[in-house]
Amino acid sequence: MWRELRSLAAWGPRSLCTAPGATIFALSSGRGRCGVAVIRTSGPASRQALQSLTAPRALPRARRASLRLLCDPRSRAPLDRALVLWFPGPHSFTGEDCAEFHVHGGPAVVSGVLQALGGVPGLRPAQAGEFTRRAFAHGKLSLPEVEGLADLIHAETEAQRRQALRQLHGELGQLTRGWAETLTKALAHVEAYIDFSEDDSLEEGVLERADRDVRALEVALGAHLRDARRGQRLRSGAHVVVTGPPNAGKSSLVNLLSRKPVSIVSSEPGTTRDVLEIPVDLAGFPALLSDTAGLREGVGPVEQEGVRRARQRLEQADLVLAVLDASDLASPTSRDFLDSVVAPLASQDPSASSQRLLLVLNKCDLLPAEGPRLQPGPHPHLLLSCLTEAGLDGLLGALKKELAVLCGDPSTGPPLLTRARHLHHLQRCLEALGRYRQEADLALAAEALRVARRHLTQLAGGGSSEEILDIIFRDFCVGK
Amino acid sequence: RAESVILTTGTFLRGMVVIGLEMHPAGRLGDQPSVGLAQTLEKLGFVVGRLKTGTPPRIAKESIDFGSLDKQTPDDPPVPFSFLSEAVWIKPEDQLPCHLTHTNPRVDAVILENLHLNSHVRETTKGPRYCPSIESKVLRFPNRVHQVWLEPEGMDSDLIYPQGLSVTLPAELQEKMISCIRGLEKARMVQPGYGVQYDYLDPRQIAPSLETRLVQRLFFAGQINGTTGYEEAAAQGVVAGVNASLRVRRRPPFVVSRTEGYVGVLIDDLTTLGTSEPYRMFTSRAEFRLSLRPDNADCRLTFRGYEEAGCVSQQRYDRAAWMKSSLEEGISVLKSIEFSSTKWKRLIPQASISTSRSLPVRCLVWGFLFLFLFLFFGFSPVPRTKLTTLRMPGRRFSSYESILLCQLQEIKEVQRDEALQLPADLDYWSLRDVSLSHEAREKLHFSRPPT
Repeated sequence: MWRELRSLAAWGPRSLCTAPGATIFALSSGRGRCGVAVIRTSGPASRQALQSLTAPRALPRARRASLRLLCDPRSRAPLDRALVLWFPGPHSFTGEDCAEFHVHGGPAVVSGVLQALGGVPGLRPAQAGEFTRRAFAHGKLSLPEVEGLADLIHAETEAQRRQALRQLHGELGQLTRGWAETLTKALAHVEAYIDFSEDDSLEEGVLERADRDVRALEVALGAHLRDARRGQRLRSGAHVVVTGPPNAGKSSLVNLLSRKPVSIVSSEPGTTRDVLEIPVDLAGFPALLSDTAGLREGVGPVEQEGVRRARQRLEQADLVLAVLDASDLASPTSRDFLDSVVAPLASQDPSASSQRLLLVLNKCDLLPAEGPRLQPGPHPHLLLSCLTEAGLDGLLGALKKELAVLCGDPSTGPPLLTRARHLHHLQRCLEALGRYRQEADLALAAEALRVARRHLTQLAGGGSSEEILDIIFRDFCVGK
Repeated sequence: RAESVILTTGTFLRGMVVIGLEMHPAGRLGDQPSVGLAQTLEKLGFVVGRLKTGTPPRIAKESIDFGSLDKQTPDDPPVPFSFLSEAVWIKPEDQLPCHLTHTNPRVDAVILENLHLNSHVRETTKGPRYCPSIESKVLRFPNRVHQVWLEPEGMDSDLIYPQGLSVTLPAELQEKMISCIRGLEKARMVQPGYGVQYDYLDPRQIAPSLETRLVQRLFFAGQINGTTGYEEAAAQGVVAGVNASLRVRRRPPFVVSRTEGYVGVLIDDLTTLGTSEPYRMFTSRAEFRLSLRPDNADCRLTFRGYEEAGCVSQQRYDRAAWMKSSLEEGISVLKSIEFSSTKWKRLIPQASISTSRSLPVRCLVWGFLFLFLFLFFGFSPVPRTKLTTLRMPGRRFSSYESILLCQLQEIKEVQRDEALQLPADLDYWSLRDVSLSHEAREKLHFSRPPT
């Protein structure tokens, strides 16, 4: 009973979810160079969110824009002087209480506000289409709007899917997945103990092992969060991937666009092995330019690995720069590339969030001045020579148009929100692991682990109870 | 001619009993299988699958040497399952004990040396992830001892049911195996263990009320839906029975949500995900395990059962209503007790209460407080008789309340999504502008979830 007391104190008023429904927040405006960014919240805790960020001022009058100084509620550090709007439900976009923060569009301000919101109890980052879903649930959308809703959710999910792919393959994604696996196993063992320790005999030390694993995870997570808060390089921008058959001139193009020799260029095919990611300024827009290995059935295993990574990177791209050797269009490698990569991309629905394609025929300086030219297919293409820089202006103009569309689209999930989401989930996971440690009641401890695991699987994917059962039956002999 | 029909075919649909290498059609040892029924169901268009399960041999009680075994005595006092009972009908000392024994390497040897005589295990019918038979235990977890629980088959029966010893070896080898086990050296096998394979119908073809979609007013319950276990079957039987009668009376169906009870988890898993192994219920399947407890079953289900399903007696309903109001009354009384934090610290020095705030602190620790007030003060805010009954649920309530508040949030979100009904004739194949893979569309088309 005394342990119950202590464990009750551990839960504490801090972590009591006072709001009956979760309140969501998200960046609603585009990324890139915008003067103003709009961050919205929706839900019962919107009032508290607004008040804690604008303290000690009172709530502004409903539906009137007011100028407020925004401060982080925990550190009281000033974030921005912003316009805020307060929409008490039901007269708001979603029908719930909503708050809007119109802040300066710089990445530091936006991420600061997002992080501050993440720290308000009862708030969490929104998922794709969640605002629209809530609006729909409250009967705020009419039928034509619902059809537009389908487009929006589709677009958002597509973009989120690509974003998720990027995260999964990135370093953080792999780290998170490893942690999620450890947690799933620990949870499975604790649950096995709860369900089966009486009837079936489990091995000794099941709980102790789970404890040890969880403790190690806590340490690792804590260290990671401390590093993350010390400031990562903010990598933002559209993901532009340069791809094509070997020796088409991709690396030359990358060097040209980044105005410095970054990639190794040589006349030997198969030079680029790794995927290099370079933040560049393309026609005024921030972009992450990736040079990839030439796509072909590689010779050696190292080159095959390069090709595999190139294909992976292609899936995650926002804009694909397909580069072909203009003088070599008839070759099987070129035709193969056109069929397997260019054609599917070109036939995609040209909505904002699908992948965009620019087809570039490089080495046009090698083409005969007159005479019939081979056409690479129905998709429009640009002629370029990296050597002579002929056609470069045309390319930059086309890039500018594509990037304007991409960067203006808020649903492509700016990395700032992604980072806020990451931090939010990792922090909550760490808190839940702390609760597990203090919890004497096994059912409550398992619950804390379950919550911790859910936060990780929100980032890394997975998270079904079938996974847990799989592990229980794999590790323990549980009979009928 | 019936208004509603419930089919509970157990393992009888084209049942095949397997012992050793021998197979013969039977629903159960000694009973004919149902072949015609199985064929009719298939002709009607139901998707049929095949499952297998097994049962252990039965041993004569008087041939067992219990003296050398661990005894597990029954609960004293035994806790009644029913909310209506204050006590169980039997005297605690009249209950029968169970005994525990273990396998050993000689048992393993008998099994491993005779796998070629054991068709059940070798076959390709996909086995469950858990270990349904002693053979699978020995094969998957070798070099270990496995528990065998010796349970009486009935109060007056002279048969013992060895739990954990489901087996499909030929009968003579079963006897040999049994004799290797401590306590069973001279045991006499009265009936051999055996495996049974049977048809089941993919439960994604039934609605959450357990009514089939192909044939109106036909309900399926039990192993026919792919479950294993008495409780799993009984739960479905109750739901099917309730819904069959509601259908006759032209009332809306009674559906238990997975946020309301394990019955809901069971039926939701089956009708949405289907199953490829005999489905057994585990607490890990329930996301809201902390809310689905035996002590609050009446709060969760009794009232709905009374109002909507009509399957709850007046007596049970009254009792549940009394419990609920007493608990609420007791808790509100406790919540109203306010002392300053210093006074609390004096009263209960073991609790960690911060004294930095001078505002009166509401008592947080109700569970303890019940006992505290009762013992130390000699008075209690509610009548003593009620207090004893309420003590356990009260304590649990207080321990779990903060977590439950958080879970309530989750539950509400799930329930809100459940309220969004999908039309029954939604054509998943032609839905455009929705990013669903081919596989997802196929699954949705087949299971037609209502929400």
